[in-house]
Amino acid sequence: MPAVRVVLRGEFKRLAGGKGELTIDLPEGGTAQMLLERVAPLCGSAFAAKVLTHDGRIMHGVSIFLNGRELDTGGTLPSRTVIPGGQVEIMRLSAS
Amino acid sequence: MISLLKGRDTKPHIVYRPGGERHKSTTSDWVPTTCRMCLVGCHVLVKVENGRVVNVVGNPDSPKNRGRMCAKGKSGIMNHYNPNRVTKPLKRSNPEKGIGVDPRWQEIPWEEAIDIIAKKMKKIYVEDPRKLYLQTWGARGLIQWLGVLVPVFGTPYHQESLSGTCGKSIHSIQFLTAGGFWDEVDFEYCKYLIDVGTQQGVATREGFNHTIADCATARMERGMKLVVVDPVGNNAAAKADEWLPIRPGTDAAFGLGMLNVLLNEVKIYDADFLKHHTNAGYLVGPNWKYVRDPATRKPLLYDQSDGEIKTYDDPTLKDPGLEGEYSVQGQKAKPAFDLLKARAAEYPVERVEGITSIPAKTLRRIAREFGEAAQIGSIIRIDGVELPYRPVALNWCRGPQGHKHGWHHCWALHLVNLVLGAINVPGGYQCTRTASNWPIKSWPEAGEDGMLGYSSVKYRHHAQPFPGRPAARPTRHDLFELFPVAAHTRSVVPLVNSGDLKKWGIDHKIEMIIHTPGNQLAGGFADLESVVNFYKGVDLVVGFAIELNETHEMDDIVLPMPTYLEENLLNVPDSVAGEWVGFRQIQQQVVAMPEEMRRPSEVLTEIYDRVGILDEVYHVFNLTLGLKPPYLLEPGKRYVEEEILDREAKSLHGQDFGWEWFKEHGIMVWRRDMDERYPGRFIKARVPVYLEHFVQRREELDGVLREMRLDWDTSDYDPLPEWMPCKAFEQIQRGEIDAIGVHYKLPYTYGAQGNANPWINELCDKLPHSYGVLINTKLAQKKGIKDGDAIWLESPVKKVKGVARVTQMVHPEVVGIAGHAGHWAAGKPLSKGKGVNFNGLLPYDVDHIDLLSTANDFCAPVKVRKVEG
Repeated sequence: MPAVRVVLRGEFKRLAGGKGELTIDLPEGGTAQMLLERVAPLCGSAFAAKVLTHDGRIMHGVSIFLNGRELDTGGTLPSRTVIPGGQVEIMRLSAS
Repeated sequence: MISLLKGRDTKPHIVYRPGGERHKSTTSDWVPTTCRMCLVGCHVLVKVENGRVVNVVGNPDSPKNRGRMCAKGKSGIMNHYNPNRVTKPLKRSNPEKGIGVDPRWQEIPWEEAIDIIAKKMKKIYVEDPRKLYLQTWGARGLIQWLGVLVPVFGTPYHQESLSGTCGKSIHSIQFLTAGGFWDEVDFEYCKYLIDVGTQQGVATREGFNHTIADCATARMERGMKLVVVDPVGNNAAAKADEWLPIRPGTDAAFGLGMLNVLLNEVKIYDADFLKHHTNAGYLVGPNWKYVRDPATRKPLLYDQSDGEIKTYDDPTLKDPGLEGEYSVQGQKAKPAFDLLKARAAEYPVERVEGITSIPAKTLRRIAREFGEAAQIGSIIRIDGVELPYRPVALNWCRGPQGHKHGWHHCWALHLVNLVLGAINVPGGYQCTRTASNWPIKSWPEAGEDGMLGYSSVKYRHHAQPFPGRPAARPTRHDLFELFPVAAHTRSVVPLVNSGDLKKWGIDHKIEMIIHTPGNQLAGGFADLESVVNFYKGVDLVVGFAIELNETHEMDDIVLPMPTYLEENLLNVPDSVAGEWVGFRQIQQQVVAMPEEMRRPSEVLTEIYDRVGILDEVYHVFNLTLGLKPPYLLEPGKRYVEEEILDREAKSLHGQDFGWEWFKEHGIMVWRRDMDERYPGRFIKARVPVYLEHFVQRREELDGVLREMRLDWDTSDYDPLPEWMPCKAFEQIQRGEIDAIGVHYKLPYTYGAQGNANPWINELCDKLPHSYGVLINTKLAQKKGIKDGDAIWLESPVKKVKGVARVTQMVHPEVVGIAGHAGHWAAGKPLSKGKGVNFNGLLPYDVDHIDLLSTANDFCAPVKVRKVEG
């Protein structure tokens, strides 16, 4: 079970009550979508409302970097992108 | 790179000068850099003698402009040597702010300016980062350095556009239908172009310098027909085969009228494209939503080949039905295309004539001609690859967008291209930056329901219109949550701030603005009083300035910034629609800055260090610039601008292609694959002709609006195109106003920087439509106005004086006003007091904003009369 170090930046850190880092255990083959679904409940409703839609999709404007490389969050990609462990950074890069 | 092009076949009109050679002598040098006199970014060669710029010419190596330049670019020298240029930090000594109020600037040391800014930023950073608001435009390097505050500092506000209304519907519709950002026309093969509310190929627009030549070549050598639909007989109309003066705010009716002729009268449409590359065959139930498979929730279609109902991705699906009515799951359902046809049928050309004032027989003829010119079913072979050939484009832009129901104007027009299958295929309407194989692999992807999603990596600064997001109570000054499919909603910020923030449930105040020279006050919004009040309500306004424009008159601190001839930047990889090469251009410092100046990146490095965020800024640059070991920026160190650019270039292109390589060569050019050039049929996703997701978004929005007791009309969330009148249309029909004021673009001005330049000002002085107010001969006669008379224009928010230019080249119910005029800032003495500030005439309230996209309504309702005495 890979442990993922999650770093929240900017607005997301504020929305999570100042919580900037947390560790999440993902099952083997766990995806970016699954990771966000596990992070959201730990960071409060204000954070969750800005990161996931009501039907669980990752909101546009949420940028995810895995070990320094940005993941494409368009379409259904988050549910197909496997997180093998390491560091994931979640931030908003633009205002929209 | 350029040398790779040697020996390649080049098309006759493309001139690339291989090798990056430049004219050199002991006393002069030609330096390659990027022109920043408008948004296009043509590449230029700058001649320097004894440390002074003496000439600027187009760079023949550049696919962007192929050695050509325009008047704006040439005049860049005069901007650089502007005697009114700001070179030292300034501080306001007059606490009173307002139009015409002298800020009484005092020069202050850099240390004092940096200290004031850093202390305020640090206070906000600790208290609530949402109190910082960023407005950026123009200087890309500075945008990067300020934009990093969104992820690092935590402000949600970064207004990255020249005006709050920039690209509202334009970019969204490109995303929806091609996965790209902007548009051009494939002049290489196009045979029939209709420009609606734009001057594509003749004046202004992206790729200006090459599209003009390409359009002229297409017209002269291949007889491409050009029809211009515009209230103003502009530069494009003057070059067109036909000019159709249209009543402002009726573009959707024009588009629907064309669709009706194509779909219901002459029955010309690309059925194969519609069946297999769009949602035209998706079955829609009585609730306007897709009929879905109960198990998978996937939309269903009717397969005419075997009479079965199937999901959109069923591998046995061969021939989706586009018309008819089917009984599915106990309910009647129709293909989306059938509904589109029915909507179009509500717009017979006779009705459209009554709305648009374009004669019915003309519209019918144009629609038929256009459809026939599309050559549905034809194929072209390019470099051994067979592609659909659709040599028609209906190009639309700012004109249709700038209305109360602007989204629907744009959507109705764009559907004409879609039903003909003429998007991103040879000859047709080209959506730019759709797909890239190198140096960064980036392709649009299918998302929900098999419909096209787009890469958020490329277009992060505009929210995606599909599937949009559920509405919610607003938490931001731009009410972003109340516009669930809008690309951005910055245009409402001053409006929201003009009233009680509690009405919207917003719990924080904007305390600090940092902005670049984009002139938001004069040209960014509407009613000036609202906008001035917004700036007045902010504790500290900091502006980076070259000259002191109208917005700077609201500043508390002004910081000098370099001209584009003093800046360094590695531009993003770029391409021209349909072209066989991609390229990357740089901007580099050509001459030294004045001694007392400091680079914005250096100043911001100092400020960020004092706020305590510099290491995180570097870390985020590592991520966003794609820096890789050993080129990563390290915490605890400080880097100058060129070091960072070098690391960026080497990370992407390898150690042999660092900043020095780019400074020497100016441009890197590479060959593009056919699927990058014409990605239309290579994208494995469907595009919409029916906006089904609008139905759900509207239901959610209606619920939020009810909770908030806001009485907004959400009928714009119609999945089919519809024409709805704006206020000015209704007012002129009722005879309450004399005319609708519209603005138009001149090919020699841009933004707020254009006509303050002496060469541009001279052009504006000599060409009467630059500073004059165009008024139709009939209206002038009715009002007793003669050419050259002083006239009053009175809108509900402002009364201004102008000079009448009586002409037949404007719609009889319209007065035409060139954008970017009517300056009042003391820092722009040449253009001060000339022409009319158009935006100042515009009402600014919910009735004058498109409640789908938040575009401002650019119809100015005016009464016109001669100035007596």
